[in-house]
Amino acid sequence: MEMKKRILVVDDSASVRQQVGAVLASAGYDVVEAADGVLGGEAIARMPDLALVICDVNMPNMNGIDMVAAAKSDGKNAALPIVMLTTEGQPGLVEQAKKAGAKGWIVKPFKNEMLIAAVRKLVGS
Amino acid sequence: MSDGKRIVLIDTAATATDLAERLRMQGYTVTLARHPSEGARLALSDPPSAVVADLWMPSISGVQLCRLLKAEPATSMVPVILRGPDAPRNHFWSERAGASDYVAQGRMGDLVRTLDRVIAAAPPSDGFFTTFSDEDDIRERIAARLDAALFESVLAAEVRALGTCGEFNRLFDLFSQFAARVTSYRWLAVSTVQPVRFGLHTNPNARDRAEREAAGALGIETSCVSVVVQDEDAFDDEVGPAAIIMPIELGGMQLGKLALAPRAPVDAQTVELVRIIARELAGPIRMATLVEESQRLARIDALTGLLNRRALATIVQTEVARSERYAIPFSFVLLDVDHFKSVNDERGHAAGDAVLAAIGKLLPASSRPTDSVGRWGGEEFVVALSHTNQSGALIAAERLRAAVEGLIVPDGRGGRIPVTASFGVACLVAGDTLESLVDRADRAMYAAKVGGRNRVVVAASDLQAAIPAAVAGAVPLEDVAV
Repeated sequence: MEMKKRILVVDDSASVRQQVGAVLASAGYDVVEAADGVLGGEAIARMPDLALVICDVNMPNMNGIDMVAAAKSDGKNAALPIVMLTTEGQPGLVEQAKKAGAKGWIVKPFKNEMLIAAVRKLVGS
Repeated sequence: MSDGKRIVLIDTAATATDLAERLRMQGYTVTLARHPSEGARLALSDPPSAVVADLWMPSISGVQLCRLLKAEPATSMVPVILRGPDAPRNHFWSERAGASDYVAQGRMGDLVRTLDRVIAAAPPSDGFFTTFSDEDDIRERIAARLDAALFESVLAAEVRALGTCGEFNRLFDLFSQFAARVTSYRWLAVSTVQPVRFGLHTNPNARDRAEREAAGALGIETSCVSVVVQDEDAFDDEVGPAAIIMPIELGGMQLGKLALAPRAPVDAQTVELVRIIARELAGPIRMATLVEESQRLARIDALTGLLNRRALATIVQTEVARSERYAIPFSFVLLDVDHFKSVNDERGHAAGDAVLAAIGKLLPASSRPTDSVGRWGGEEFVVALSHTNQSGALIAAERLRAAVEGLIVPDGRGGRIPVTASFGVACLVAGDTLESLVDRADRAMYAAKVGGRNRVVVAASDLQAAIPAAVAGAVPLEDVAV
């Protein structure tokens, strides 16, 4: 059987990590978690087999957009898709994330099937 | 490849499925949305090659939809084509909303040609998407954009309205009153180049600190301050966040800078507000500069750089009224260059102009700063002496006469043009007006001409009044008598 694709969820809220993790697990993905931008960056460096990163914007220590910029400054992560998942939505902030190298922006609250559809489009089943 | 021509068609009309089918027959992959917010959500979550939308739709217009898609990073580069009745104003509003084109309804051929053209011209998509779960979010976003657009246009209109206030100091005063109402700050400063000006709005308790900080932020000397507005509308916080500095530009030309020292906390909206008001301030500043320049030009005689007759008459009229009211002495000296016509005739008009320009330089240099010096017309000049009685006026006129006589005006052929002038002096008496004063000075000047030129003559009627003894010593009697 083929290895499950692995997705990193970075969010400072344990309940959001759990909720997102459960949705992704039910769709057949392997989910790992990190609690802020610094830990998320470390996890990306540690796990070269990640298929996708889903990342909050407002987090302590390092925010999500800075985390994307830091990860993308390493050429090894050029092909790694990172998607923001946040309640924020000002076009200015979205633009910053896009410039930093994020692949997309999902506005919370999300519908499970839409999250799964977006993930499938990026990484396949 | 068909995926290269993926269209989101937003059409609420009954005929929408027909249109979708016809576009599919043309080779496009079409996703049909029957509601504008659904269409926006589809376009944002998976940006297509182009969006085609109706101009008139229930709840959200095509123009609003287009503005939203153009503002969102996911769809800002996706071409939007609006469709509707063929009327010039529809083309206008579509263009203003950022649509790539507007196609009249029912023109299938036009629509296909336009689609192919705008898709070919669009940059390739980087695939960035924004997903909203709920179509209500889209409506909220459109409402928020409308609020933002209204906010911006109201701010813009308020700042632009300052364009009528004429000169910089007044402009800055009104501008600071406006700015203090829309945001709070420690100080606000505007600097301009050509001419260099520096306006500052500060709390009176913090003036020195604000002046220093603002000059530093704008990169200008504190000595350039041309207007300081001090009131409690600016706050006197000891410290605050770094100043927000924005260029003031018009048509690629930098007119100056706007700096605002915000109070904590600084949010994105404050920065945006400063950006908008700096952008809109460019027009009023340019206008103020032009008005000031035209006012200056309207007051100045181009050849001599002195006040012209109109400006001089205004000043003298005010001086006459003031001097009469407070019984202050005032004297009026009119001088006319001797043999000027023959200078022009024999040496040419350039030589005549050189003589006039030389006198234009000499007179202010030989007068007090409180005197008003101007060209009355032709080769006639005026020196209006405030706080000066007849004896003082005679001394001043004689000094000017000697200075004119000593003037060296090169004739351009290695020689010099001899220059002298005849002077008429009139001193203010009760009931005088500008006209009566000029009339007496003119008669005295004529008498100086008749008397042999290059001399000072006091107006006859003034002589009937007692002449202080000092005058006789200062001026030869034969020059004084008519």
